[in-house]
Amino acid sequence: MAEVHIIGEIKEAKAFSKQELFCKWYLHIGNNWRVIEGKREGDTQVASSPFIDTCHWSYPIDLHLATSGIQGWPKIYLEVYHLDWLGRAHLFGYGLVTIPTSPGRHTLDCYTWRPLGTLRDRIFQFFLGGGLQIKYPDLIFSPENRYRLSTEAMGVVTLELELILRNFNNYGVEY
Amino acid sequence: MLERERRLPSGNPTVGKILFFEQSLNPDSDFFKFEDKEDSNFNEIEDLVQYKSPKYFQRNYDNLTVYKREHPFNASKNTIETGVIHSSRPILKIYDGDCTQYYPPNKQEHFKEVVITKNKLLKCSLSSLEFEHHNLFSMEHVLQRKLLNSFESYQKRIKDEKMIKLLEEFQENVKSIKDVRKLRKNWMQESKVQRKELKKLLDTWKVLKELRITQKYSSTQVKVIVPQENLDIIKEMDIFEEILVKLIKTRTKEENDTISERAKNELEKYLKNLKPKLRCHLAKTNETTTDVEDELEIERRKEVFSTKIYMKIFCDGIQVCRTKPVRLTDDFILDINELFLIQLTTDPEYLNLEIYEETNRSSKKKICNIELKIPQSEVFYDETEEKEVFFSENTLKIHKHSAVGSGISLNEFFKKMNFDLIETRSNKLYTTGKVVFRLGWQNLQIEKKDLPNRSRFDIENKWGTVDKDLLHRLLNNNEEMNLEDAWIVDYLNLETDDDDYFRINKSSFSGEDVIENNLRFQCLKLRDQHEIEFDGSEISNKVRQIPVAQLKNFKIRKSVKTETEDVDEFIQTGKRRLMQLYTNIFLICKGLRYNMSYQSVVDERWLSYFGQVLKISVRNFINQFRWRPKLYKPLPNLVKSPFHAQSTIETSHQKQHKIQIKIMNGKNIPERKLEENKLGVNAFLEVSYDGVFSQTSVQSGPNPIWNELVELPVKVSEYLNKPITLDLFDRIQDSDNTRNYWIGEIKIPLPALCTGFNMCGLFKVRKPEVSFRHLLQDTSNSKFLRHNELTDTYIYLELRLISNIPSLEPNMGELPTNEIPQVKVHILNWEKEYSTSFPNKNVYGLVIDSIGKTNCVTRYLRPLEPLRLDDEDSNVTMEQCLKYVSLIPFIDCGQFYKKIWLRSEELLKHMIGSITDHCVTLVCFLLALKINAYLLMGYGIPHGSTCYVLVVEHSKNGQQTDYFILDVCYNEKFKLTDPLCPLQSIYCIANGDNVWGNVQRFTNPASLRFDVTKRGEWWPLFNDTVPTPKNLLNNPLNFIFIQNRSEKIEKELERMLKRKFCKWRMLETTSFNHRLSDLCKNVLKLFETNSMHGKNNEDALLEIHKTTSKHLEIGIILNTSFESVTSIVKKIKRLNIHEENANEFILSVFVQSYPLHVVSVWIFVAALTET
Repeated sequence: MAEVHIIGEIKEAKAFSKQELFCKWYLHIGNNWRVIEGKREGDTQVASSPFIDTCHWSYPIDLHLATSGIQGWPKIYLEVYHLDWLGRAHLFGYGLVTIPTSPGRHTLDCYTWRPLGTLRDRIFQFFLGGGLQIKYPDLIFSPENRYRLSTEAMGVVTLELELILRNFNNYGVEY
Repeated sequence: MLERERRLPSGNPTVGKILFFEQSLNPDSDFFKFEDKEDSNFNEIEDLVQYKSPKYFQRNYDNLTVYKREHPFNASKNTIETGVIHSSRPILKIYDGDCTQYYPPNKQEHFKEVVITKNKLLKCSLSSLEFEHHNLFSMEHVLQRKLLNSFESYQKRIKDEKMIKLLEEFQENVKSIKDVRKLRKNWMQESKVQRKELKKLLDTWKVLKELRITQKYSSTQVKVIVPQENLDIIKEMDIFEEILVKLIKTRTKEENDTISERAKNELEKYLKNLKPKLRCHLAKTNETTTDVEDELEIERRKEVFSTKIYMKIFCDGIQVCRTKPVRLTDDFILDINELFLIQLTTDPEYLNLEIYEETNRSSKKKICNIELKIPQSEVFYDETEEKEVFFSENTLKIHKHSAVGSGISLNEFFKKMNFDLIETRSNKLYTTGKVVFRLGWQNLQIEKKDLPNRSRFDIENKWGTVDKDLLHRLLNNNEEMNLEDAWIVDYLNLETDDDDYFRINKSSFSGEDVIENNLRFQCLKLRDQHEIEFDGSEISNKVRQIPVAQLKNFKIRKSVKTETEDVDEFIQTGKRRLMQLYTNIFLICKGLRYNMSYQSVVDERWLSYFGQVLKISVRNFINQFRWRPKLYKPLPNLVKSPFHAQSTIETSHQKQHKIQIKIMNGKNIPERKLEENKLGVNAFLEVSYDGVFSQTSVQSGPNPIWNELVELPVKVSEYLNKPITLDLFDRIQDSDNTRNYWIGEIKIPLPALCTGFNMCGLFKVRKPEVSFRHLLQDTSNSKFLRHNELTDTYIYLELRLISNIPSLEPNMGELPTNEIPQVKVHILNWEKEYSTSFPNKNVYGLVIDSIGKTNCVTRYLRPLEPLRLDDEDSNVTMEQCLKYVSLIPFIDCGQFYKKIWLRSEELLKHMIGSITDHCVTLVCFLLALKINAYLLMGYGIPHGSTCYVLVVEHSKNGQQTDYFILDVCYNEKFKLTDPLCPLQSIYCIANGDNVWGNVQRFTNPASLRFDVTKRGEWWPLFNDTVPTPKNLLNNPLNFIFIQNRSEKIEKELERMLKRKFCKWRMLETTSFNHRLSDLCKNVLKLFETNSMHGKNNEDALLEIHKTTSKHLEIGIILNTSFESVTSIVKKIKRLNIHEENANEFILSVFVQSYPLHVVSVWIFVAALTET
């Protein structure tokens, strides 16, 4: 059983069209992985800045995982939401980023997207808020054909993670 | 997912009603499961996406600082709770940056471990060992061996077929009569030898047979079978005739006839004397006798079976391997059957095989050394055949038992035994034998053939990696390959540079259960869940260093928690856990340096005597010169009592550790009616500590004066945490018997005395709630009310603990801390500075929490919403909080643990704690009720230096401020100016904002000023330069409220008490009045509600009076917290009501349960008389 420590933070959101963003995150791992210490999911605070167009969250992540195999290497799944002045949350993007497989310090950029609807949908969206959401979020993890799904690009969520791997040498995994 | 309707703020006309989703972020809930997935094949885009109106998120602001801020767009109507500043709409920008940034890691060393080596493997198999002679052979064995030998040589002769060969030779080249003669000569010679051999064989067999008969047992299996054969003469003759005809066909007919005639006659003569040819064969069918009577033989067999033989293989003088020891059997043939693989690094010529023998009696003995020649490198093991190698040993050995021994000549042996056997060769009997073995090189080509059928573990090392070179070589010679292994070839075709290994099993390193069962991971997980046993503890990286006990304790606790729902059990486990926690912290503190206080290391008490001695000696010296009146008549000498000296020795012996209690006088002891219009009481005290009792004299009157000194010994080996109990009794002396009625008790914890001070003052006697005895036969209403007017009873005591037990003080500076180092240093300096200027005052700024870390006191004191005690009550009062906290059981703990404070949640979790913990919790409750409350550290009776709660109440007009002291131990509230207040001095007060040390001249609470802003009176710990550390998080308590538990306890208590009550009254019958008991139970309920709401008990008392009216002789109502059933039973026994001579008794129990296992128990015990 090898071990992985993921230490770092969800740093910021860049290039989104609006401020007041928050993000829900979830660590997706395979069946032969176990979370030993730390929270597997969470959500950040709502952040906005009057001066720059980035939202800084600096949300800490500290996880200790144990694994009995390479398959199902951890991925971080993100949902970015915008909180409007009525206190409503609008989906602003889905994102998925794989945790690097090499130890050390990594700066990860998670490019987010959201489904793009028909013209009618977009008009609704513009005036009433809300928008299209994916019915089954496991679609985001699965490599199925997604060509039917049209999306638009949203911003970028930056993560800074440090990885510490342990005992992988014993199983012939070299890095 | 919860879904419920909620109306929007009225300012939004566009949406109206909106569905409200509460996003649950509970880790247990499935965050990403939205709807049931029916069909995974999406046909339309609508299947994939769905329009959703924007969500309202219920955001938990409790823990965050929240500013209410009006929104710029809708300033008048909508207010929104956010802590952020709004900005205008940003411009959309395309971000152009690298996707990820890569930092190459360090290259690690390659893993080189390989299990299988490729060449120079010598395979050696040892199959059997056979002894031809062994010193443990019996005579029978010797003969058997001889028999076997002779049989072998005989057999060999026959097999050689010399006679037939001779005959054939003769037939081929018969030329003259000379040849016939030669044949005849040879023939006769050969048959003679054969006959000799046979004779030898038969002789031996004869002897063996005789021996078996004479010694009446047999230990060998070999048998010679000689089948009987009849000779057919006519047939034989015919054969001979044919031969004759053949022989003489060359002659003429006449000659022929005459010769044949003659020959026939001769033959007939010859054949008549002829006997059939003897044939014999060996069989191992002779049954060996198991039950032998001959003792010598038994001994021999014993020794045989106790003998073990093993072999060692040496190569170049180094032991390579050894076989398992094999037991010797009676046939002296050993089955070894072992295969060794020897890897050679050099090229030796021989392998040395050594045979060892080991018996029970003697130690191991080397029998011989055999050299096995190592074959040429082309000789593979699988092509070799089994070989035999002979060995012999030449030591002399003679046994006392029937074994033959070795070193004896065979002829001598036969002579001795009177066997008519002669051995031609003069060989001696030595231990000899042969080993059957196979030796050859390991053939790798054969290994290759097996590969596809072998499991992967054979070519894997323990980590699952494989030597690639080896695999390459194996595969090249392997034409037939399974499809399953095709990927191995694929891999090998990939020409990687230096990676010489790869994983065979790609999917997993280990089973998942390995992770689940890993001790370290289990501990880490539990620590992450903040379980008590693991919280904050260090968990080693090495599994071997992790103590298993920790996990065991946790499991025991968990199992207890699930199994028992009993309050009794719950409190016991809480107590056990708390004690464990205390011990853990004690052990942490013990390991630190400088953990003894100065006073306990250096005894300075004698210094005060030193001055006195000096003064006295100077005065005596001066007195020498003073004028003194002369003594005319000398006084008579005092006669010393013989016991005096002895008693002083005893006292000096006990002087080390004892409690001195000076009982001065009593105050307001309740009276009872003695005679007509006369009241009185005969009171005495019983003092007990740890099973040692002592009694004072009986004094009469409500204000008796005892003025007695009681001394009790203290065992130092025990924990000094037991209470000293003083019971106040009233003695009634009738004409025939004396009875003691219990009035009340005083309990003083021993640790309170450990500080070295003398504790003196008025101790309040804890009396039961209501006691009916003292109003005996007095039914008038006026008298009845007088009972309530009775003031509390006090006794003036002086206590002192005489001991020199060093006390351990936790060294706060070295313990790990939660505070910032700067704050810690500041607090420690403050404490030090304060204690140097006020050495008698104990002030705590830093205390130890349940993990062994130090925290500032202010962190403990933060508002905590009290639990609602009643469903009816919406507002919780201060008195109710006090009552609730006082109902939580207290733990008796030593002085050392005073500095260990539990957080309020922990106290409520454990349901047991020290007085300090209770005070902390009460202050937290009161702060949540917006009451100005302080935690007060001071010195009080009877708990010594302890904590109280100080409450400041402002009167309505704001003119006057009242200060109250709350005693959590006895559920009492005092005014600070009350002269009977148990608090004697105040050291410091604290709340969530600061800690203030008392720097006024007086410590007496009545004369103190409580303006904490004045620096000259109260010295604050924190000021502007050092901010107060505070706990930011505060979760509201939500615990379950279980009602039916009270009924369970009630039933159990009542059953137990009734049973015990009957048991105490052994000689008399006991009957309970059930009707009255049930009625009284309702009254007790009234008592409880009254006490909770702070009402007077008059109505309840009247109720009791009505129901029991004239029958009542004596009765007591008790109210206690629930610790355990046994402790309550003990309390009831002390009341002595069971000694009453009464017809019927009332025993009713009422239990009111409050949230979190807190239980208030009311018991009414009464004796009824006949009227």
